[in-house]
Amino acid sequence: MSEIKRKITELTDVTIRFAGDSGDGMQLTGTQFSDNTAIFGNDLATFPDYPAEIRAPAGSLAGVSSFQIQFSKRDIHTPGDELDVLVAMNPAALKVHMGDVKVHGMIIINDANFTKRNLQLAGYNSNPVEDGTLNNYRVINVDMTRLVTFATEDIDLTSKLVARSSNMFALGLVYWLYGRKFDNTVKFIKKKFSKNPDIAEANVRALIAGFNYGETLEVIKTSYHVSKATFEPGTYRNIMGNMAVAFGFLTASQNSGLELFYGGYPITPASDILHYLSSYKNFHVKTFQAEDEIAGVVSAIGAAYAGNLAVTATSGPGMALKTEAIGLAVITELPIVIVNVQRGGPSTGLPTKTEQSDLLQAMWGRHGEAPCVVMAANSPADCFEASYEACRIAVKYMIPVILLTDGYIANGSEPWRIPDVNSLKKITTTRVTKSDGFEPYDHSSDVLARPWAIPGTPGLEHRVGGLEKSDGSGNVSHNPQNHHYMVQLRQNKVDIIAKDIPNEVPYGDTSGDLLVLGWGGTKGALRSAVNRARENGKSVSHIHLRYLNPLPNNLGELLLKFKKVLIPELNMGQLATIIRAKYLVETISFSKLQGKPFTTTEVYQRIITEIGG
Amino acid sequence: MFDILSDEFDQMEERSKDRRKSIEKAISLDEPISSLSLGEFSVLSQDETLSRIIKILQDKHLACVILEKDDKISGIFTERDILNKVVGFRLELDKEPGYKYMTSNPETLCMEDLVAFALNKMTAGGFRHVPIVDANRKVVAVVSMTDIINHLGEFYFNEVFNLPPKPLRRQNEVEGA
Amino acid sequence: MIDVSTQTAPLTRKDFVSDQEVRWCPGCGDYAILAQVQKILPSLGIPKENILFISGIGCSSRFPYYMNTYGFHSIHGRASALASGAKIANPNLSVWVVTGDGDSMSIGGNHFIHVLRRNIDLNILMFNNRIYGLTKGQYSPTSELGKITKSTPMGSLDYPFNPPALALGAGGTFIARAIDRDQHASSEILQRAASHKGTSFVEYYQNCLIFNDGAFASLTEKDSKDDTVLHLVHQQPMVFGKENNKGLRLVGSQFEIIELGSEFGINDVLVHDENNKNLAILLSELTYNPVLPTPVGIFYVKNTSTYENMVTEQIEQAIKIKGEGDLNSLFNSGGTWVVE
Repeated sequence: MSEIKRKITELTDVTIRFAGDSGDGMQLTGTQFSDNTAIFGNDLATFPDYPAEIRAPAGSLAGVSSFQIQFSKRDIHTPGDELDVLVAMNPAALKVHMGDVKVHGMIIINDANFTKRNLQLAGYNSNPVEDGTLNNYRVINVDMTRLVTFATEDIDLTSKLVARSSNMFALGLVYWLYGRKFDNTVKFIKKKFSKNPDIAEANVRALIAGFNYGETLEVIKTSYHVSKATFEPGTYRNIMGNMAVAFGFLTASQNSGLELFYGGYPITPASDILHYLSSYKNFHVKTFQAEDEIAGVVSAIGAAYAGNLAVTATSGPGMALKTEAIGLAVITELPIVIVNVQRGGPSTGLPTKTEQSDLLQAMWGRHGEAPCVVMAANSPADCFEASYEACRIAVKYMIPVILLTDGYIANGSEPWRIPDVNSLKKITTTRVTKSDGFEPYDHSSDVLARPWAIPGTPGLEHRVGGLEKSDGSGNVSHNPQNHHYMVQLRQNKVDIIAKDIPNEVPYGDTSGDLLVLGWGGTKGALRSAVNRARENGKSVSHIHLRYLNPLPNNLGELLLKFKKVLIPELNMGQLATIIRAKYLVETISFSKLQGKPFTTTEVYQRIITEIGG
Repeated sequence: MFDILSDEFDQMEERSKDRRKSIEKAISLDEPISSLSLGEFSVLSQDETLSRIIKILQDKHLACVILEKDDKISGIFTERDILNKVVGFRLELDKEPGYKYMTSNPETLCMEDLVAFALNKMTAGGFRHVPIVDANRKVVAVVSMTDIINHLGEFYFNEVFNLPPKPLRRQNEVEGA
Repeated sequence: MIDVSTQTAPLTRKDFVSDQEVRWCPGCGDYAILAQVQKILPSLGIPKENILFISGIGCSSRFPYYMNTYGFHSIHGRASALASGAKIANPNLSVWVVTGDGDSMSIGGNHFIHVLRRNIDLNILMFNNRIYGLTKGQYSPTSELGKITKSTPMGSLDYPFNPPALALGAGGTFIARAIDRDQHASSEILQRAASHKGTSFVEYYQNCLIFNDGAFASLTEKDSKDDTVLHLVHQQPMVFGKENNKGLRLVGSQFEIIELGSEFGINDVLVHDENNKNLAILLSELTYNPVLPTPVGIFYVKNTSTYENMVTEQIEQAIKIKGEGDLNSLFNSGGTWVVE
């Protein structure tokens, strides 16, 4: 074998998408690669895209499952736009994802699955690998199954079990391509299949076979290197948004000394929060899978009245059901946190696709004047801080808090620096134990929070309820002036929180040609686009709101300092509506409602359109 | 990745299991014919007229009748016989007796014989019906090809009954119905 | 049950009377029930601060305002769910749900069957007046077929729910019926309901004199009630009638009235067994029976684990297996890496 001349090309960032049939193990492959990448030291962001069906027929387009990762030596914020590499384990995966590969990008194919039947199923008349369809790409066509079969000849396994480990072959090849060590994956395989050493061995061999294939194959002349990124010192782990929400709640419970109660109902894509919290029983967490969405939030209200830190999580349809109950929480001034993991709407919509179209519902979706605090998390790791903060505000101000996340950050992952829990903001409550001078609706404190008198405390017996109450005594009141006063009071309760939240500091400059204003899971794409524009000398800055209600105190004046305000949203202009209503400034909306996040490119192009090339 | 990973793992486990339940078990090759659940059958005297035999076939929705003489099986008359020996021959159906048109002394089996043999008669012999007789050559049952198919269908219930109306063929769109 | 040792002076009825003026219509059956509840609460030995009354929406649901305890007047139909949350949050509370036939059997139907199924230790008092009172007179899920009301001028077309049968079907572990006017029986039922560990369901026949006056007249009028009401007493024969000379017996699965005298003696009368679910089911089917007497009292009792106790046990078990939760260990589980 002659010496193969190889070069190693240095890259800044790489975007890879692993795609295959749901039975091909692409989520596992992708997760392993991203863990490996994190340990190596790159910054990364991921986006899993799994089928909506529980079980789709093998080889079908609906059954295609993919996992995308962008990794870099610098700070990155999105899982990437165009793909540098697509791993397509079967024709259906190729059909669905080919369009996202950049010109001259690499497509790695598992030839074994490009059978006549699979090609037909995917709607191909001929094999795209052979008929010129893929001429613009660098194709690496491997019969992975055959090579894995060779590598595992001496192990007694059925052909199906052998074929199943083809995903490890693909992973090994990609590891080689980017100069990675794969010890973490070997360790993982051995642990996962500890009860089945034969299968473990087969998977490990497949992995090594893939790696060696890269080594020995002449077709691949270049491998790549992406340097480590700089991170703040500390201990890191990969975390998914939903898990971060659960961690945030747990931490708030520990730091406040309040037991955590979760009442909820399974709904895509929020169910994982219920699952995670259910596994923390040794933290005294009580999870209650209620009979429906309404019971989910109502039981949380009961638990809040009884003195627990009460939380619930749902998605759009569940929020709609919960509106009456949230109104009850508003008028009884009880602390609860309601997480809405937004998904494509309206109605059943697109359960597994992302969107951010529930903002106006969060702001104004209840009957009567029923303001709540509204917050939004902006990335998977940010969900931790956002959910902790939501709890802090809820119990400090005796007010319901709606925390908006979305399917994209709930299921995506990124590195998270594990915090020192003692360094987080302290959580205070208006919990009262003495009965002297106690009035259930006493709003004289400077946080306008009524005292939290918990059943079981002697001398503080009182009644709360949905009817309008008299300020102070809390007796049912139909008095006209009292009602006017109480409505304004409940609004003031939200407004004063503005003093407790930091002023906005724009990313970039405090004035300029264009301000990109956003909220929620779009932060990554907006930040990357603004960065690109600034690198090209444009006068663009970025503000990404965490608090939607109340808005930061200085937002109004900041908006006036920019010639134009561009608001990209995955909805029809909901934040834009709020900004215009409150500040009377003109805004430009950039709406995308495709069930997919913004790409950096499309935001960048819109920025250029607005301020000129 | 709580559920996505474990869900994917479950799917891979399911796919890699050899789900083909042994075909022997499915059609009970080693079981006696008595283990099958068999349908109705009809026995008439071989002297019965064709028109009466055909009426019985029509009324009872059968594909064959057993013809007997002296309480013993003497022949079998099937739809095939109507097609090959009756239609177009301008017979006087209410005068012609069954014994002239039946297949005489058909191959038979007993209840204790293995199902494999019934299949053998059907595949190697080309018969669609096999009469089952007792020691006195009296017919006690008839095994038909339909019985075998139904038996298979029940065994492979999920794979055979629980299917969508149309098989998955060429797709051009990712999202279906 | 909480220990009484923390109490200084024993509680009296006055301790439970709030300062709010009671605003039910004069003559409303709810007054009687309020009085009964305020009377028996002191005798339960529960510290006042541990008692929580939760209601939904309806005339019945004004109840918490008139009790000087912790109370929550919540939203229509959802009281049981709210109560479940409160009880799970603090299992030491004595939680009472006050609801009505509309609140618990119409919009609240779903939460009703689930709280019974879960057997959460709380007491549900359902004031069944067979009408929607607060909204001024529409028919309810327990109104009889053909009832003429504002929304059904030609008569209602709904077959009514049978509350004890529904409760039994949902798996309830304590099912009883009381009548607003029958102070004596109610008192005993409330005591038993309070001490029962599990969901106690008490259906109160309550008279709404404005919109459905006389719905239960035959069960409360002096000259009829002895023949129309059967008082269920555990391990006692099912006798009724002015002179206690009538009894029920089972022939197959059908009840029959027998007259005690020469032909039948007391030993022929069926003896009530409150632990027999099948019997309870048969008795519950007498709700709308025009001939046989209406059973009042405790139909069925079953002692089994409560939901919140099992929650506590699971938590204890988790701690036993995994040790007390430590955030740092949790965060550092799964692969981590260190940046210097």
